[in-house]
Amino acid sequence: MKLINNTSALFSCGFRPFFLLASIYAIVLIFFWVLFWNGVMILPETLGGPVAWHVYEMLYGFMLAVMLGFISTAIYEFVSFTGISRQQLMALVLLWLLGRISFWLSGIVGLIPAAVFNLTLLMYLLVLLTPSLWRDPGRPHMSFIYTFVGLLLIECGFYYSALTGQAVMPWLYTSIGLSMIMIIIAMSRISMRVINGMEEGVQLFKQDVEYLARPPRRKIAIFTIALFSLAELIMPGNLINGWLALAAAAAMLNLLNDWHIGRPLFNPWVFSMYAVYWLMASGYLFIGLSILSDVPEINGARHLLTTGAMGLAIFIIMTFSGQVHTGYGVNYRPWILISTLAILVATLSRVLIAWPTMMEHSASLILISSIAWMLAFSLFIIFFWRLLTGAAIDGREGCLD
Amino acid sequence: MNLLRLWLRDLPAYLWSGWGAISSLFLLLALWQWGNQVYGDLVFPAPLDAFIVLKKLLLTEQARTELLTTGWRAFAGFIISIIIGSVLGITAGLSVTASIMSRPIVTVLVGMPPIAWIVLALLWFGATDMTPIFTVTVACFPIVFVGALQGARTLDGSLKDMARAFKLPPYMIFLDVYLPHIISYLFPAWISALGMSWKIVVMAELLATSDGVGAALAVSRSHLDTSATMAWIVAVVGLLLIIEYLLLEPVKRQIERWRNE
Amino acid sequence: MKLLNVEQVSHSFGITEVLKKVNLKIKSGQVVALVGPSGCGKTTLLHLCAGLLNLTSGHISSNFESTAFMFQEPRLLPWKNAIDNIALGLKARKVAKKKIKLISTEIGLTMGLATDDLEKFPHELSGGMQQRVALARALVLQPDLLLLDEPFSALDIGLKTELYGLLIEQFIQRNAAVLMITHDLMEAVRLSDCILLMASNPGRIVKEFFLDKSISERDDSWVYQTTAELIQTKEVRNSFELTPAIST
Repeated sequence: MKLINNTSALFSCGFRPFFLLASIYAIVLIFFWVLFWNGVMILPETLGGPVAWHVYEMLYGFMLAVMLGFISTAIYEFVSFTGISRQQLMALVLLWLLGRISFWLSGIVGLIPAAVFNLTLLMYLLVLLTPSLWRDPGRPHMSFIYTFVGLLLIECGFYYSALTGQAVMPWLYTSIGLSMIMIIIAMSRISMRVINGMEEGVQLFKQDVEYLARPPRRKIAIFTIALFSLAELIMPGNLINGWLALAAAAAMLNLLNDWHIGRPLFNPWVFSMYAVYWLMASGYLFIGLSILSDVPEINGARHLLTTGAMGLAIFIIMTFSGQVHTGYGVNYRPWILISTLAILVATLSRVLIAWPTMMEHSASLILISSIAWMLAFSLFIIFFWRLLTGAAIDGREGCLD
Repeated sequence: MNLLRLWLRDLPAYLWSGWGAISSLFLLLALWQWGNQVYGDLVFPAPLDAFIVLKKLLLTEQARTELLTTGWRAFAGFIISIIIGSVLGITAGLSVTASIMSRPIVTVLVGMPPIAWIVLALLWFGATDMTPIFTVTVACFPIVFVGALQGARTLDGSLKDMARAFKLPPYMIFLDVYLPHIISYLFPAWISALGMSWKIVVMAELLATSDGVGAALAVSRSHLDTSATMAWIVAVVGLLLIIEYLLLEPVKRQIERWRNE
Repeated sequence: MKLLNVEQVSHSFGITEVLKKVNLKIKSGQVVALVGPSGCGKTTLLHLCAGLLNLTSGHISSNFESTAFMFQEPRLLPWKNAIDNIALGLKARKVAKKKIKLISTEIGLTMGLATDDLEKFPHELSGGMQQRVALARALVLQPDLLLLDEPFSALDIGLKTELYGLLIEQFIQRNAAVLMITHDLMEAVRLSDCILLMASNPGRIVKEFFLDKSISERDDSWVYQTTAELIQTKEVRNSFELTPAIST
């Protein structure tokens, strides 16, 4: 049996190759990470050491792949007259693969190839997207460009620090903040269309629902998160960051005002997106409290943002957009619930390690967390392999609705 | 009764929208923390230190008495000023002559610095409760008066005609046609007056009395205890925030539901 | 017989004389239209009839039991929702609360408001909806004399026709009287039994036209034809300052 029947279907739209690669990579990365953590094997020598490898690859490998898939598909909905050609998409995928390989080999061949391929990937994406989003009347979607530019700048900072032998981790922590902003923006677009029944062929509710992702609240949330991330970059460990993190947590809770729309909230899709915001709020809350109460270890709280908010948001975006754009219609199947719960289990068990009395169980907690994470994305691969590699069921071509 | 029901119904959504305000306040605390890092603990104690001192203070019987005393004085002065200010303001506003005549007098009252009133009050009433109460009353009165005056002056003539055409009795003309309009001017004035009363009372106490928050501030100043000073400031401002956002703002929203949003 | 009788009424604002020795009579079951150019004192006359202005010269007597007035604008109380605005006159008459709600809701629905519109504040309603509320507020009092100050002039032609239709229907049923102002001759021809033509400087009635055909029997062609005839008369052309008619 051929695994991929049809490369022409696979490269017909951006979400297909990138969602597939991202879900595979999510498993690969955590598989190696848990083996390393439990001392079964060592990781390849890479720039910045194992922790930097883990964070960098989760963000610039896994998360960025999903965002590339999302934006190269959504661009057709944002601006109708342009898009990304098959060759351009293949080039993006190739650059992404080269970026991964070169980073894994950065201990051997040096960090220049990794820097070149990874920075080129983002720059090429910006070259492809910016003109049409800029020409769009009113420029409603330029915020995506700004976040990608931000990501590019931070990645430059990361490689600069690596080249000059300075600490690289602050850059990666700032990238987490920017990823949160990117997720908030992407989710605001998806949620508006989904909840108000504007997505073609998707009707979650019988009655009309009025949900507005209001820009002012979103802007406050983005502003506070950006402020905290920058402060953390400039003055790591400062008490000021604690208050800023609390401000970000409160701003996230404030964002939930838009979501309190009664019964429709309890639709599983809607509730999952709602839960992402709660995870972000609690992540920043615990980060703030840890900083203010002088707890040195805040990586536990950080995993509420990464494993929790980012993991769940990415999973929802991949399953929802994947179903919509392959023409299969939106269906909340039981395995989606299982995967969602698995991501929550992965988050909680990872966060618990930071709890003082749980330190001794850290090895088993990491194991539970990793297995749950891998389960969630394995289910995605199992149920989406045919959808992503096969032609769209309703015969449509490319990404177009 | 109806107002109370609506207030309770909209309260959860209103409280939740308070997270935006809380977020801003945290940013302010970050700024405060920064000030502390620039100027040092002695000059500008850190927020957490001030909160710890405040917690200790609030556990003592004495601090609670000071807060109650100050609260009572501010409240008494505030109530007197809103009663006199509202009644006189509406009366003056209903007559063109009276409103023209009262303008310069109000300007004088607004221009009079509160500190001058404190000195006068000290001479008249000595170090009694009356000094802060009086100062609060005269400082708040012009704000309320102007609000009431504006409200009464801007009554819509066309609605008056409508009321006459439908032969509404005088009590209905007042309650249904005049009052809601005037209230929409009065209420914001009351809120400003409340903030004003709270500030003035502390100042008056600092200079004129031996009890209350103002006096406690004077003591902490003489001890060069900046943490205690900040703690008292937090207590005073915190109480004002609670009264304004938990009590007055939701009521105002209910009263003004008819306005364009 | 109920009668509104205006005799020798004159009125001045400051030194400007706006009405000079106006006489008119309206009986039950009659619709009278006051037609004239802007500024000819139509509104002043109507306000005098309603008692909104003090009479300074002349005499007005009325034995109608209840009079309602509709203004050019809706003039709703912005802080009361639609139903409470409709109920205003009933509340002034001290009708029992339950009954007020019942009657107001019924008339509101008759005027084409939806149930949830009744709970809305005026600013949430469109101009047409606001005038429906104002109409309901006037009709809920079951007046036997209604004074209309061009209440629907700001609405589009479809809405205007619909609201006038609702109004006339109510009045024919109860044999009440209407005194309406309009500057639209065709509207007057369509709706009234008697047209009083006014001229300005100073405001006075220059001509009465009686229309014999009953209101319900008038069709469009009759209205167009009668309007065309009226507009050819010397008095109408003078009053509206049109050029003299071309004789054919």
